[in-house]
Amino acid sequence: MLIRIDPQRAEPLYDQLSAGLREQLIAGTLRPGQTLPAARELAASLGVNLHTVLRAYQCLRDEGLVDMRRGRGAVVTERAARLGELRAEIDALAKRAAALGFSRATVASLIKENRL
Amino acid sequence: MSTAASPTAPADQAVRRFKLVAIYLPLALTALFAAVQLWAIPELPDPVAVHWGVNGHPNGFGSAWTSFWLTIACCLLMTGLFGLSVLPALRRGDRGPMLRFLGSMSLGMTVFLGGVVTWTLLRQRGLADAAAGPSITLPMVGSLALGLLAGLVAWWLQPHQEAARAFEARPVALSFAPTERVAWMGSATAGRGLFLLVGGGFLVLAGSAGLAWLLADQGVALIVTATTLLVAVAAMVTLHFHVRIDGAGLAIRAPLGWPRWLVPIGEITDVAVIDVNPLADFGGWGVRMRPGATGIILRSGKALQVTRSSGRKLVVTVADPMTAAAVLAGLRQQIRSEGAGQGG
Repeated sequence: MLIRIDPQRAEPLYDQLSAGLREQLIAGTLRPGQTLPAARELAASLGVNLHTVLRAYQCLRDEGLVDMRRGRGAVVTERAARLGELRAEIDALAKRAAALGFSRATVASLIKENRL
Repeated sequence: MSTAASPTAPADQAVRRFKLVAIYLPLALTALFAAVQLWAIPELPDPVAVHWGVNGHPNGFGSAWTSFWLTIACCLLMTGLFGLSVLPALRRGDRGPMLRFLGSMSLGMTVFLGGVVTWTLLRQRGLADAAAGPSITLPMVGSLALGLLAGLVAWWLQPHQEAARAFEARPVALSFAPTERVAWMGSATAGRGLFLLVGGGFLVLAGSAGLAWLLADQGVALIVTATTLLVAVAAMVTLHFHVRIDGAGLAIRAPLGWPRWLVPIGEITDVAVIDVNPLADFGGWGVRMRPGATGIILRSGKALQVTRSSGRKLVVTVADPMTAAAVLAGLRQQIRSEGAGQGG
């Protein structure tokens, strides 16, 4: 599992962290049933505040991608595996948007505002 | 036996000589020992002495045929073990003093083991009662000496080999921004064979301990229980290791927290992925040491190898070593650019 964050970027650290974790989930390097690294360990490793990691984990929990289990930590849910099913479409959408000259932020906002 | 000859000549010679000293000779000697024992058996007392006390006198007896079959089985097993573990490595192009040493071990062990059993049996020829037989001291010392001699001969017969690996890859380093922070988490887990061996062994011991408490006396039960606990602890340091790579370096630790290793990024001079053969390269599984290298070897196959500024190597059979190596190499570059930026 590989996580990369950059404090210099505008995006908040917990957002970068959740994004990085989601990437691992959709790529399949994190599988259902697997436990995420202990928040304390990941925080120390990346040199960030413990609460930054906890916030990122809670984000993923709210999205239904991990379960917080007592004694075990954050466990990847079965649902998270299904993220992979979106991968092809996301890749296609990103490519098409780029070809048409639109930024990812534009596409992301459109998806966010989608009324379906 | 110089290696200045053409590239193929020493290569073939290493494999040929290894097969000679580590497989053909031990097999021939095993057959010889078997023949000698067969010849001696008719004149042996029944039972023969198979165990000797500290003072050298026989204190355990058994059937001569058991000794015979055990000798053959052990010698064949050892020869098979050495051959099967080292030959594939040599064939694919790995070389090194360790492989040469294992070849010597094969012959030396066969001579020692087969020798000591055959010698003790021969000395009991013509005896009416094995209890009156001679002590084991001479055969033991003699066989040990002969075994060492055989090992030396086997070493001398094999060509000199510089350590070299057939497979050694250096993945392209990931490119990290100067302010970027990276965490890679993985694990090294025992292969199925090792897992079954250690797990199975533990279960057998645990069952024996239970039986011992029920049926045997307390002393025996305590010893078996202590052994079971020991194996449980050993299992904790043989079956699974947690591996982490970040700005602090390469960190490896057992589930119990110890043993652990930490190699700071600044101390790493080389990162590579190698194909490791536990028996041939490190003499076995688990936490291993050999001249110049420490290994956390839980399976055969691709492993991460880092070389420290001290020259010593650390090898760990982590899952997905290619990504681990790419991350480590990237972190090294990040530090170097940082240093260059500050100095410039």
